[in-house]
Amino acid sequence: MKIEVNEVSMVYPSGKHALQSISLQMECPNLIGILGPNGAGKTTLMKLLIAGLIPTSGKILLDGKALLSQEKRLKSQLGYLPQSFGLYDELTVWQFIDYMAALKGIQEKAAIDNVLERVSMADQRKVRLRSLSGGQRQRVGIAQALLGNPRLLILDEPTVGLDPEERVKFRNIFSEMAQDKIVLLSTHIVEDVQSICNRVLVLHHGRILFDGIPADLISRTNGHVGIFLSDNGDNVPKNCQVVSKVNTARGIQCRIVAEELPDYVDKAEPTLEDAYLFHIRKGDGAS
Amino acid sequence: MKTFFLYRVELRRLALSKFTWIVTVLSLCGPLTGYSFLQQSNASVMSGQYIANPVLAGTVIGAILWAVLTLIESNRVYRNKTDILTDAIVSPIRMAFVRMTALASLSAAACFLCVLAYLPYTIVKMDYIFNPALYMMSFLILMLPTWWISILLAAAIYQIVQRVELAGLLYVVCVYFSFSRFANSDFFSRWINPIIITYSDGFSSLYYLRIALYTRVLWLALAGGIWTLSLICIRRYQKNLLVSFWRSLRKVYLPVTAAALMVTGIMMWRGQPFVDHGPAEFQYWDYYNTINDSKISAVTYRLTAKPESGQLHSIAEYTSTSGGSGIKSIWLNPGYKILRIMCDNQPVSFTATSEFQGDSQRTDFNLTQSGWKTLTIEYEGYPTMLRCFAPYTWGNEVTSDYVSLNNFSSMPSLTGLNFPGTFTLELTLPGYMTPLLNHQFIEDYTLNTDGTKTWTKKESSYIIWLTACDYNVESFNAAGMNVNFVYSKKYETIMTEYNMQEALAEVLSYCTEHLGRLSWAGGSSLMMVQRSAISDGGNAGEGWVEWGESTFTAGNLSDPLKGANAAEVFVHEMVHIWWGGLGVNCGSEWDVSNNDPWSDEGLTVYTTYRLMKDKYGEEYAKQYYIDVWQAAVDIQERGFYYRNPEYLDRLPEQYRADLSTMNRGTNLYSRMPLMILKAEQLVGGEEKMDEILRSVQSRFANNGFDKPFTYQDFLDACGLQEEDLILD
Repeated sequence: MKIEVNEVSMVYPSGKHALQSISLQMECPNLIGILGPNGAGKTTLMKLLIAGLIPTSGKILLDGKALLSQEKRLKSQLGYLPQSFGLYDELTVWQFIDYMAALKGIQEKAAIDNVLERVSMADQRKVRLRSLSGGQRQRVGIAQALLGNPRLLILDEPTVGLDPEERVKFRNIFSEMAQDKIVLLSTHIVEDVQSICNRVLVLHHGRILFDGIPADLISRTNGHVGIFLSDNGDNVPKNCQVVSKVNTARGIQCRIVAEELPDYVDKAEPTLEDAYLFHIRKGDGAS
Repeated sequence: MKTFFLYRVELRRLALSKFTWIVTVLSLCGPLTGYSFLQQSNASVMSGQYIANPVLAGTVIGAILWAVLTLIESNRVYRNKTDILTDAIVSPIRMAFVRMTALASLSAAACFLCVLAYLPYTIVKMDYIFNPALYMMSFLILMLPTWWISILLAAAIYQIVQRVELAGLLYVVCVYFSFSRFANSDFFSRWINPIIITYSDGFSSLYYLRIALYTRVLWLALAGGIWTLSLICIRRYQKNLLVSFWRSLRKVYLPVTAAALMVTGIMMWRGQPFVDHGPAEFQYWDYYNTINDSKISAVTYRLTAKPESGQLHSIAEYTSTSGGSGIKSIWLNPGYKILRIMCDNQPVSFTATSEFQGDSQRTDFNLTQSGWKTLTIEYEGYPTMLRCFAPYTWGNEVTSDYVSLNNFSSMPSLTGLNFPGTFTLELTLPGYMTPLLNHQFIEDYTLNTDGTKTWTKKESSYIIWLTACDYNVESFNAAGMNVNFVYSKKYETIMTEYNMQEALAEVLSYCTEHLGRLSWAGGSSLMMVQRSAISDGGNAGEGWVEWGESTFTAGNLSDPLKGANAAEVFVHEMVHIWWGGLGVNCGSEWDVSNNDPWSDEGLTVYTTYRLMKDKYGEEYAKQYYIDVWQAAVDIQERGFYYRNPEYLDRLPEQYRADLSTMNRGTNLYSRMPLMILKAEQLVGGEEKMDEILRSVQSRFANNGFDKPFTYQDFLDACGLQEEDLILD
């Protein structure tokens, strides 16, 4: 499976430019993390990729053919977890997954049990959806996306509402699945991307700021991350982005990213989060 | 295959929804309202009371409920954002289709539950009259398709506007339209409340069921077309209506199917075969002298009923000694299609005109040569209703259980020709039917190889009323007359159980003795014929009496105001034969000063009382008649609104109407007989009263019942004043 996004722009009827002439290619296998602040265009990109939207301009190709003409094929190979979604609350967990399995044309009941096991919901299979917590509902959402072992898995904020242990577990599941398919996940949690994605896409204001491997993104931030101690944490130099402030015995240790670090700041090894913030800041035009 | 699989899971999902169960349970309760206040059909026959009315009420209520469920379910997927998940897997158009079929299936299951739920009660109440086929057909023709139409419309509206409150409002408008004055004038537009004027217990109910089936198919096509069109409007790719419409339009099969269905529905509406397409106003007959120049020596009508299709196939054959040439016209009910006109075995071209008179349409044909010997007109179809009288049948019906035809409906009218004085009728009917031509039996018949019988009769009167049915005929002598008592075999049980023949003989003897000879008894014979409720109502002529079948319903026969038991109620109905022509029924409060028509009902009740007194004695008559009347009048007079009519205006219209109906019943069946009883005492006893009533009979009969009998007429006949008959 190969997806090509060529010069795609998306302008909503309200006039908002959600995506501006972006291009990218995705081939199997691939686990791509999309990072970006709110309103960067992550969800719009995902909706375009599932043929839920039609781009204002540009083309999206699935194996070389226009995506909309391949809608039926796309849907048969797609697992999709939207950012927000509803469930039929009167159904039990098992009934709902069975329903979604039927929509996908999956008749084997073992497949339902399998995904419920994978998302740790097997024990709650007879629980009505209305009784589930936010995290459990999210797991049901993930379960339906995993159904049928889809070749293209698009996950919009999949780890929202999950506890740390579950997050790690799901990260591993996504990683395993990406061995023979395309997995695209958008998230605010940089750590998720850092730990499993072999490719990262940084979106900001509808543009791609970075598209490459996480190590490359990090390496580009070398020399732009620093640490200094502050008495009260207020004396942050101008044109710097504070990544973290940590109280220590010697004062507040501030971690910053900046195009040019002040002299008194000790340079530090960048993380993906530093790199992400640095690029976003750069994208905003800060120097 | 996948669609079927989807259908199964959607069906199961809906079956697990509490809304579905609520709607199913309420739909099951819907028919209950038809027993009492939501009566849309004639409740005086058992099939109307226990089948038509409950089913029609359940049809309307269920249709609305299923539409509400459709709106809820359609909106739910968007409101809950479940569509975001499902749309990523299946096209929303396919999901809409699957949801529709699932809802249709569930409504079918609910309808089936209705069939089962009301079956025992209906069987118990209707007893020997119960017709399982009619019961099933009512649900399958009236209820289920209407629910489907409602679901289709509700889903279509939602898919077009995609706002539940607006869709609900538009659906209400559609319902209102179906109950509007417009829909009443053109009953084909009644999509949610199909029209069933009445059913028949003893004859056939297929007439109105056929119309209902036609309108259901018509509306299923229309609603299906609108719904298919609405699939194109389903919002996709987060686009608005127009863009979504434009994109889905590329699925060519959708607009093509929508157009085909809607065109089918519109064509069915425009070309409906039940009501003539003539002028809205009644056009009186004035066609004469159409082939006046042709000496007709013999006329033969060969009528073959085809009950399975409800049609009549006919050949009218005219033999002439010197047939004239030129443009000729025939008048025939437009429901018949003229197949061919032959003159001396040569085809003659003909053209149907747009001219209507009565229930007939003019067709012109050109006879090119004079001196022709034989003219035949072959036609087939079934008589349409007069547009101005629709949906009333005017006595025309061709069904498997009953054939009823009036003259203009059954044979072409060549009025003005030199008629030979008699004509020959050859009538082919199913073997189980017995025909009555102008209320007389046809004696001669031949049995055909296919089991049908061809009845032949020479008839001198052109006015033809033809009925045929699986009649039961009881012949006996009473009051010096040979009486033929003819009724549907379905009533055989009750006729035997209550010995109705004996009761009828008693009535004829008693009334002849006390009130004089029945004014329309012709010669020494009397034909008494029961008539289908479809063309209900009493009628009488020289030597024959017809009465509607509602006389024999259990509800009527158990009316204590008419008699102490079923046999006595039957006697009451037979006594009507004497008094039936006196006038129309009076209102709830007859107004003496306005000289309003007085009801024949009071005289009938009084005469029945007299007969029972004669038969069972004074004590019996007092207990079951006078005391019953007095009790009813006492209850009436104790009523607050009877004593204080000035407060009536403050009541809602429905309550006022109910009170008025109650008062009317008491006045007709209790107050009037009490007043006649009082008059009897004042004029000098029963013999004197009989004398007065005989004179009333005689006077009105001699005058041809040309004016209604008023209260003042009664007072004058008795020589009494108004105040004389005020009850104590």
